Amino acid sequence: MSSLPNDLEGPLALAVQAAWEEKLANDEVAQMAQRIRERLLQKQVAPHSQSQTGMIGKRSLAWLTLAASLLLGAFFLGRQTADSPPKHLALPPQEQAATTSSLHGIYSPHLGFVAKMTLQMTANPQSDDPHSFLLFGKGPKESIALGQSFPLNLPKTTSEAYIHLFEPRVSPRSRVLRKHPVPGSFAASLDGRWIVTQTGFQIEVETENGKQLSGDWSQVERVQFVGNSHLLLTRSSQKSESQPQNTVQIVSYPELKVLKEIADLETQGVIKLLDQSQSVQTLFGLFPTKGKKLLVQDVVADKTLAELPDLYVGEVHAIAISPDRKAIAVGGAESAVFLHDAVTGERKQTLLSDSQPATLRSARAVAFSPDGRYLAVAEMQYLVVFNVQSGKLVQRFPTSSVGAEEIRWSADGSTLTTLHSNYIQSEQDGPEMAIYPHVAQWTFKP
Amino acid sequence: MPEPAIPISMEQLAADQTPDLIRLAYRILGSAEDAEEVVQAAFLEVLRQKTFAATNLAGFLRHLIVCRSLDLLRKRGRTQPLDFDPVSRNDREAESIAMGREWLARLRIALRSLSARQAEVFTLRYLSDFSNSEIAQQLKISENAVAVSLRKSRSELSHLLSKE
Repeated sequence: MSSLPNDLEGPLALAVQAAWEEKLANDEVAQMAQRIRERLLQKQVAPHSQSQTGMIGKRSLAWLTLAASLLLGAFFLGRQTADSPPKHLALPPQEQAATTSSLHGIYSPHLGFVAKMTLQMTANPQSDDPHSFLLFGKGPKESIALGQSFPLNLPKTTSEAYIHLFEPRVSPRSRVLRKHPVPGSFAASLDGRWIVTQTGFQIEVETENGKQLSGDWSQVERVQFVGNSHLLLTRSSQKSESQPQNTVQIVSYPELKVLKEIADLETQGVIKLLDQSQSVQTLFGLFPTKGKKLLVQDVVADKTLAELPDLYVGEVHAIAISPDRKAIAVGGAESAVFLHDAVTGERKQTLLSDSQPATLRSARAVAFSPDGRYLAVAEMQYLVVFNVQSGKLVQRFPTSSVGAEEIRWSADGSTLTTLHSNYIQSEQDGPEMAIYPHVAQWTFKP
Repeated sequence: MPEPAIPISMEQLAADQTPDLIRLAYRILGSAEDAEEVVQAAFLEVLRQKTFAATNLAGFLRHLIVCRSLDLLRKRGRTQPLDFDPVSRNDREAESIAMGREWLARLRIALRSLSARQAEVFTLRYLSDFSNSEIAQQLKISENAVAVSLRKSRSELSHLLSKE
C-alpha cells in the first residue's frame, strides 16, 4: 500500500499502518513459498516418490502426513457411511456441492454466473409428511432450479429481486412470487403461509396478495419470524459516527404490538434464537451485552437464565437448547462444542470430534434430537452426531466442505435434514449470496 | 453439466501467487508460522477440489486465505502477546512503533466482532489494498454494498479500539 487511505483515522489508521509496516523479510517469504511449492509438487506430481520425500523436512512430512490422513479419512468415512448415503432433495449431487465449498458467491466455474439467494427452511403446511419443508429464496424473475445454471440478470440494486418458493419433494424448480419484488431481507412464518420483508411488506404466499404493514420500519435491518405469531425486528441506528445503537424488538404478528424491547446491544445481527420453531413463550435468546457477556434469557419473562462465561460474540456461531431446557449447546470458532448448564451457565461437558485438522471442527450449526439424547453438529466438512450423556461421537457423515447452515431432526429422530448454501452471510451487509444451495437428508442409525 | 479442465498447474500458480498470499496472511495474523499454514491449507483445499474456476482461481485462493485467516483470528484467545523488541532505535521512534503494534494487536481482536463478510471486505480493502470496485467485482456485490460495509466496519472497529 503506497499510502494510507484517507478514510482511516485515529487508532484504526495506526493499526492498519502498523500491519503494512510489520513486514516479513523477502528471503523469509521466499523460503516459505519454496516450502509450500515443494509440498504441493509432492502432492500433485509424485505423492509416493521416495526420492522427493527424502528431500523434504520434518514439517513438510507433517503436511504430507496430514494430507494423506485427510484422504484416508475421507475414504474410510465414505465407507463408514456408505450404507446410509444422504438423500439429496435438490441438485446438485454431493460431489458438485463439494466443489463449490467456501466460494462465497464468487464462483462461476462452468456457469458464468453468480446466484443471489437467501434461503430459509421452514415447515410445509400442505404436507403431513414430517420430513417435508419449504425453502424460500430470493433471486431473478425467472423460475430457477436448485443447482441448475441460469444467467445472472439481477440488476445491481436488489429492488427487483423476487421471492422463490422451493418445494423440493414436488419439484426442484422454484415457484416465483412475481407480484412483489422484494428489496432487502425477508422472513417466512413457520407454517410457510406468510412472508414479511425488511420494509414491513406482508405477502400471503398462496395468493401472493400483499399489503404494507403499519408502524415504523425505517431502521429495521433484519426481520425474523418466531413461530407464526411473532416477529423479531433488529433495528440499527447511530447515536454518532462511532456509536452504533442496536435494538431488538419482539412484536406480535400481525398486530405488531411491541412485547419486549432490548436496546443498546453490543453488536447488531448477533441475536441468536435458541429455538426458532417454538412459540414466543419459550423464546430464548443469546444477547451480547456491553460487558461482553453472553446472556441466555427468557425474553418474555424478562428472566436471565444463564450467563455463559468465557465466550466472545464473534466466536459463537451455533447454539441450541435441549428439549428439557436443562442444557445449552454452544459451538463456534472453537474446535469443540460445549454443553452448558442452562440454569447456572456452568460448562458441563466438552464434545470433541476427531475430525482432522482441528480447524475443521468449527461448528456452524447444532441441534438436539427430539428426545434430547443426541446432538448433531455441522462441522466444516462433516455432520457429526454425539451422544449427549456419554459425550461420544456416534455417527459422522461427510458433507460439503463448508458444512451445513441449518440442521433439522425429524420428529422421530431417524432423519437429519441439512441445508447447505455455502457461506450465507449475515443480512446486515445486504442480500446474501449462495451458490448451489442444496438440501440433504441423512439416515441416523445410533 | 460439462466438467471444466484444470487450466493451469498448481505449481505455476504457487510460484506466481504464494509470496503475496503469504504477506497477506501475515498482515492479518501477525505470525509467520500461521501464515504459512493458512496458505498451505488453502492450496491443499484447492487441490482437493475436482474442479475450480479457471479464471478466478487466484481470487478464490485469496478469498480462502482471508477467510481462513479470519477464522484463525477468531479461534485465538482474546489477548495476544505483544512480542516486539525495538532495538537500535531512539525512544520516540520505538514508542511510536510500540503504539502502532498495540493498536494492530487490538485490531486483530476487534476484527472478530465483525461479520465474516464485513471482515473480509475490510481486510481486502485495507490489508490487501484492493479498490472498492475490485472488491465488488471479486465478491460479486455492488460497489455501494462494499462502501456501506466498509463504513460500518470502520465505525464498529473504531468504536471497539477506542474502548479500554
